[in-house]
Amino acid sequence: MPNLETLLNDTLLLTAAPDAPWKSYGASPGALEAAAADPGTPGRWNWSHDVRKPGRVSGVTYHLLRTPWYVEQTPTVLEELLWHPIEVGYRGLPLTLELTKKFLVRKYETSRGTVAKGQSAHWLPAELDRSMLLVFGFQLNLRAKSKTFSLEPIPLDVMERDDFMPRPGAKPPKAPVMKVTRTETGTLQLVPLRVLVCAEFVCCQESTDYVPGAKARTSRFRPHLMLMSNRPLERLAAKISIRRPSMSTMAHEGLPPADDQDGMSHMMATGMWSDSNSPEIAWEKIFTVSIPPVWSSIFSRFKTNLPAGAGYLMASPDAPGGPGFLSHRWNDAAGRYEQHQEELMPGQGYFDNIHVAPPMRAPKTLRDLYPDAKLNLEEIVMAPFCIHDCLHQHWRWLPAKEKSLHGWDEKGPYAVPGAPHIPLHQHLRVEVESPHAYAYCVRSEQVLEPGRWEYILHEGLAYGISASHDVMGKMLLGGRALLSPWPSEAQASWAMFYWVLRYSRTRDRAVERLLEDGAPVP
Amino acid sequence: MPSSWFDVPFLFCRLRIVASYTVRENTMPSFDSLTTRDVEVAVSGAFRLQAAHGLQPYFRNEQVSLHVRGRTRGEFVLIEKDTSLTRGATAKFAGTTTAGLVALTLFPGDKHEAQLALPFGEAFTLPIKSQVWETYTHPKGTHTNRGTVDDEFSIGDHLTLTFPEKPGEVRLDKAEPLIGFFPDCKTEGGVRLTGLLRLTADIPAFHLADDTLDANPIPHCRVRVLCPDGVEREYESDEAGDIFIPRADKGVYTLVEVLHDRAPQSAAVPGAWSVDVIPDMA
Repeated sequence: MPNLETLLNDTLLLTAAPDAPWKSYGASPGALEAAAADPGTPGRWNWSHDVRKPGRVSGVTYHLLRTPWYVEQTPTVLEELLWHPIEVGYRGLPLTLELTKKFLVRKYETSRGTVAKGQSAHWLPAELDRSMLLVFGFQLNLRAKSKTFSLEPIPLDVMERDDFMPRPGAKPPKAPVMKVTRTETGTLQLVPLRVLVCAEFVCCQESTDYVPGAKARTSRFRPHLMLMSNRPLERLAAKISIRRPSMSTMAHEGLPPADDQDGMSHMMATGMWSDSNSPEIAWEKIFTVSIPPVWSSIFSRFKTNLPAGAGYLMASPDAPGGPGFLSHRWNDAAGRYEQHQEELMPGQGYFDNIHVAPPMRAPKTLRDLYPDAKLNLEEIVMAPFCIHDCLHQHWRWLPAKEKSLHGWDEKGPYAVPGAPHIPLHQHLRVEVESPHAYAYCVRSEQVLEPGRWEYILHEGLAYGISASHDVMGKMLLGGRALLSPWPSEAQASWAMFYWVLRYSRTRDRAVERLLEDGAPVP
Repeated sequence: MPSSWFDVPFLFCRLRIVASYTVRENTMPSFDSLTTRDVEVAVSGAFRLQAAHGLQPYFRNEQVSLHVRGRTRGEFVLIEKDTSLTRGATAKFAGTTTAGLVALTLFPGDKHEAQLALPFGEAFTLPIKSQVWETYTHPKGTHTNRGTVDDEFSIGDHLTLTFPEKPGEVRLDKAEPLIGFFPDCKTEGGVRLTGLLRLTADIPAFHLADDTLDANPIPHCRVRVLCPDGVEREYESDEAGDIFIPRADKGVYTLVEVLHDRAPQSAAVPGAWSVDVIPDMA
């Protein structure tokens, strides 16, 4: 049966950096203090974390090198990330696990580490950048005031024991026969409910495994939670807030952020998309000169400029899959929308991903040319790839070839093409907190087995870095054909390339290629 | 000096001592060396002390065994120019010590001081296995020997503590160990004494504690007990986690279940079970 050391080997950080230094916290006097955690050499990622408020990471930045589209700079990826208290249920008792310093046991920090190919079933191959692991321990206080429940930190000596947590699937030990005679005192130990929570903020170096066909480079970061209990938990609810700054701090061409100078509208906006599950839409078939990735061909549903308060069920064990909602795709030749019934995967919910990024703007010359037209040139949303400052999170991908894009089966991740990237029993709801922030909310009503890790936000997020020049070239070329009715400035504009992926132009009016969710069908 | 403690024939005791400390120091100041010692040990016992008063109130029992659970790790590193020598030993153990004398002498007076003696010697020892290693590093490479050796862990000390004027509970929390309780133990390093020397009319039938090293007592926990007359009765643990049942000399009392009808114990499950025998009561 595992002790704390053994269990922590399952975390991403210690899979990649088994010798990462740590610092111990907790109330036990004389506790073994290992070498202080080492923030390490600064990498591309940087952030602030204060153990007095351990559930918050703030000021997350990424150091971008120069590309053809922007100069070397360090934009803010997140204003803050919050791990909210975790709600669990045990024997009908609701408990709130607050990730505070009182319950903090250890903090690991490293600036390097490697997950090799084939090393782990739960973690993709990765090279780590600056990363952190926080370990929290909670137990029910059996000495609390009568008729009350309260939580206290797990004593360190308990976590060092080999029976700290049961093996998954292990039968509970048989109750002993507890008999005493006149000259004996029998001592019975009572074991409280214990919950171990790991909060990781693991940042990875650039890779191409976040999108199908390795078409773009991103840096993953994985702010997930792992939770294990020594007793069956009947209920789980967790929430993680992901908050970008309201304005993008990115600058193109070395100039300070300003509209009209760099083709960006610097106010952040949030959009959500669903991938089409159609087998005809394999990503290797797009990015060709002749077939640009227009939205009606790769998405089944989308919603842009989501307001605060919007929320959707994104994955659920109650979602059966099969014939789903109706989408409306624009038929240019017929000049009307055609209705399609989308085929859904089991567990698939309303949207598959969220992108928080500053929209683009058409070149000023074009906007001046069509001042009164309904062409939506002032705010152009980037998709399917983002050329600048975009935070992506995908909790499902279309049925792709790459294992890294496969979803969970009952055993674990990276198993089923097109399946959601969250454990099968979890319900995922994403709620928009503001145009630049959202909350990732997970709920489970299934009994969680003792001694088995429960992963929350296992799929992680990514910060877009760039697409390869080859890919970008093909995309732009493909888009140029569609932009032929426009003045020549449009064909050299990334903003207009994104515009044409979304819209068709009928006279001086933009027509959605895929009708936006909730829009009236003309 | 007259003291009502002279009227006490027996003391029923529950003792618990936890040592948890880490020491890193250069024990050979003339050399570049480092000695590290990490210890975490819990010692517990339940026993009866019998009065054998002399000029002072005095209680003793020569047949006390203690339960021990813990781990130790010691390492010595010596560095000289481009060579280094590391010797270390680590052990993880649990068991019951050999029996020995426990004596409590009270010194009635203004300070109400007492001394609890568990003398070092033949008693209170536990055979253990230690994993040992020796590593010699020099410019041409590193050579390591590893092995397992039979070892012995022993306990003993003289604890100074205060006691109440009238017979009652004697708390150990503020007792001061004279030596450090374990060999090489640094008294300033973090030895914690917990538990009670509890003066009661009888020994408890059952004691409820949590499963931590401190074995914190669980108060106000209700249990169902099958008594020798075949009737099941409900009892509740007191503040010290003890359940007293007026017991006949013969017969077996069975703890049938912990009742899950009251917070916070309703969220607990039974764990390990152990029995302390007070043989000299028979």
